[in-house]
Amino acid sequence: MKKRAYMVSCLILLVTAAISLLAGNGSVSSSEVFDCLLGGGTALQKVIVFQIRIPRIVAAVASGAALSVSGYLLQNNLNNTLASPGILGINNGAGLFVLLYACIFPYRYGGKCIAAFLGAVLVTMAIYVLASGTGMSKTSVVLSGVAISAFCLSFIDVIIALKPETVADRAAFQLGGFASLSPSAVLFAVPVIVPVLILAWLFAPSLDILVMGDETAGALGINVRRYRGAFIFFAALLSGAAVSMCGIIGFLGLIVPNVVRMFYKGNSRGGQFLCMVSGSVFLMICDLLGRNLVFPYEIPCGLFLSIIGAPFMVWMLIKKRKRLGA
Amino acid sequence: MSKKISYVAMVLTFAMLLAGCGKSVSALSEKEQAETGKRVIALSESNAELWILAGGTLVGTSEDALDVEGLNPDAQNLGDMDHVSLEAIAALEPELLILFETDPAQKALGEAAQEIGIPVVFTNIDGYADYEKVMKEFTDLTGREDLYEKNVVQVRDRIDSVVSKVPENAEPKTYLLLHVSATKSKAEKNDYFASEIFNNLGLENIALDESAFNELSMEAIVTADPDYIFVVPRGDETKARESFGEIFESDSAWQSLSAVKNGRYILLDKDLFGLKPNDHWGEAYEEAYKIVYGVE
Repeated sequence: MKKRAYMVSCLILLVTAAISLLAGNGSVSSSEVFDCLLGGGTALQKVIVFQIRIPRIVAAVASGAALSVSGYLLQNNLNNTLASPGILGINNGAGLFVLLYACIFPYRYGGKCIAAFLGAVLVTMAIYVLASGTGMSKTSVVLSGVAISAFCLSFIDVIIALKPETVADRAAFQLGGFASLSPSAVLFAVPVIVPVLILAWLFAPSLDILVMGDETAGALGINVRRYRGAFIFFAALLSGAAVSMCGIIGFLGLIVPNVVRMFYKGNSRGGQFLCMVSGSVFLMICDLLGRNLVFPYEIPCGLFLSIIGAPFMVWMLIKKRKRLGA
Repeated sequence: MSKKISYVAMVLTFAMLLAGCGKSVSALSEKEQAETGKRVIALSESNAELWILAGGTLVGTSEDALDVEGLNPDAQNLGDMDHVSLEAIAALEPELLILFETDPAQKALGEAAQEIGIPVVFTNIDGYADYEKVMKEFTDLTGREDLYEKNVVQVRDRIDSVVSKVPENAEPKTYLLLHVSATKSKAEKNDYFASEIFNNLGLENIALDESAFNELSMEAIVTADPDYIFVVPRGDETKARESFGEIFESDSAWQSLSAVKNGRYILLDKDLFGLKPNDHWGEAYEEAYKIVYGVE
C-alpha cells in the first residue's frame, strides 16, 4: 500500500475523531471543548469531555478496529467472505458469559468485561477443538462455529427464562453500544486489542499464503493447522475485547472487510490496516449519530449496524451466487 | 380483481379480530359479568393481589403470586407467568382470566383464550388512578363495596394527606430513577408508577417522556445534575446496595453529580417502588415523603 493512502486513512480517522469530540448536543459547545483541552473549562465541562466523550471515542476506535480486523482475519483464513465473529458464535459466547456472570455476581457491572472476554476466548477454543476433531478444514471451522453459536443462544434463552431479572430488556442486551461504557472496561480492553493488532499485522504474510489454499500453503512450508488456529485465536481475542467494552455489535466484522476488499486488492498488511481505520471511522460515526440524534436519549450503535448489516448480507449472498453462476 | 377483494377482506377481518381483542372489565357482557367471581385465574403477583383485595378467590395463579397475602390455599400453581399453558388454563374451566395488557406473552395468551371462549380482562396500571379504576371494576364484580372503601378510598385519603403536606413554594428538586437489573440499569420516565409518586411530591424527573428510546445519555445525566438518584432493584436488594454504593463512589462521572456528593442516592424498597404497591400506595407516598422531606 502506498504511503499516501496510509496518510489519507489516518487523516480521515483523525477528522472523524475530532468531529466526534466537538459535536455536542447543547451540553458542551465546540469552543468549550477546546477550552477544556487547553486546560480551562468548568468542572462539568471537564467531566463531559474527559470522562465521557474521550473514553467513548477511544472505545469506538478500539472496538471498531478490533471487530473489523477480527472479521478480516476470519474471512481470509477461512476463505469465506461471510465469516465474521458474529457468525462463528464468538459474540454469542461473550454474551452468554456476561449473563452467567450476572447470575453469580448480580449488579457487579465492572466485571462484565472480563466475563465477555473469557466467553469469547473459551467459545473459540471450543470451536477449535470441535473443528480439529474433523480435520480443521475451512468448512468444519464454520460449521463448528455455527453449532456452538446456536448452543450459546439457546443457553442464553434458558437463563433469561429461568432468571428474567438478570436482563431488564432483552433487546437492549443484544444491541451493543457505548451508552453505559465504564472507564474500567476501556482500561481492560485497549491493552488487549493493541498488541493483538500488532501481532496480527506482523503475521500478515502468512495469512496471504493461507489464502492461496491449504495445499499450496503446505507446499510453501506453512503449518496450515497451526497458523489457522493462531489467526482464529487472534480474531477471538480482538472480538472478545471489543465485546467486553461495547456489548454485542454484529455485522461490523462482516461489512467492513468486504467493503475494504471491494476497493483494495493488495496484501493482508494493507487490508488489515484499512480494516482497522475503516472500522474505527464507521463505529465512531454510528456512535456520533446514536448519541446526538435523539439526545438526551441514545440509539445503540448495534441498531444502526443491524439495519445496515442484514441487507448487506443479503446483497453479499446474491453477489456470491451471481459470481458462482457466471 | 376478485383476488384483490379477497385480500382486502382478509386484512379487514384480521384487523377486526385484533381490534376485538383485549377487554376491560366494563366491556364484558352482562352474562359474563354475572358469571364471574366464582372461577377466576389471575396471572402475575400484581393481578392476583388486586383480585384478592377486591374480595375474590382464585382457582389458579402464576408461581410468582403464591406468596400473596390472602391467597386461598387451593389455588393451583400454573407456573411462570409468561409461559402458562392454555390447556392448563382451560382445564380449570375459568369464568374469568386476568392478564397484563402490556406483557406480550400474556397478551398473546389472552387472545388465544378468548378464541376458545374464556372471558379475559387485561389490566394496565401505570399509576394510582389506574389502580382505583381496576379496583372499582373488580369490587363491582365481587360485590364487595366495603373492600373498595378500605383498599381504595382510605388509601386515597392517606395519599391526599401526604400530598397536602408538600411545601407549596419550595424550589423544585430534580431526580433520576434507575431501575436496575443484574446486567444493566435503565432510567425510568414519568410513565413509571414510582415517578408519579415523586412528581406528586414536588420533584421533577430528569428523564423526559417524549422519547421512544430508553437509554438516557450519561452526558445528559451529568448536565441535568439531579438532586436525588433513586435506585429500584429487580433482584437482591443487599447486593444492589453494595454494588451501587461502589459504582457511585468509584466512577468519576457519577462522582461529579450533586446527588452522589451529598449522599442523596437512595435504594428504594422494592415492594413499594419496584412492584405496584396496590393497597400500600399510601405507604409508598409516606416513604417517599420521608426520603425527600426528612420527616414522617
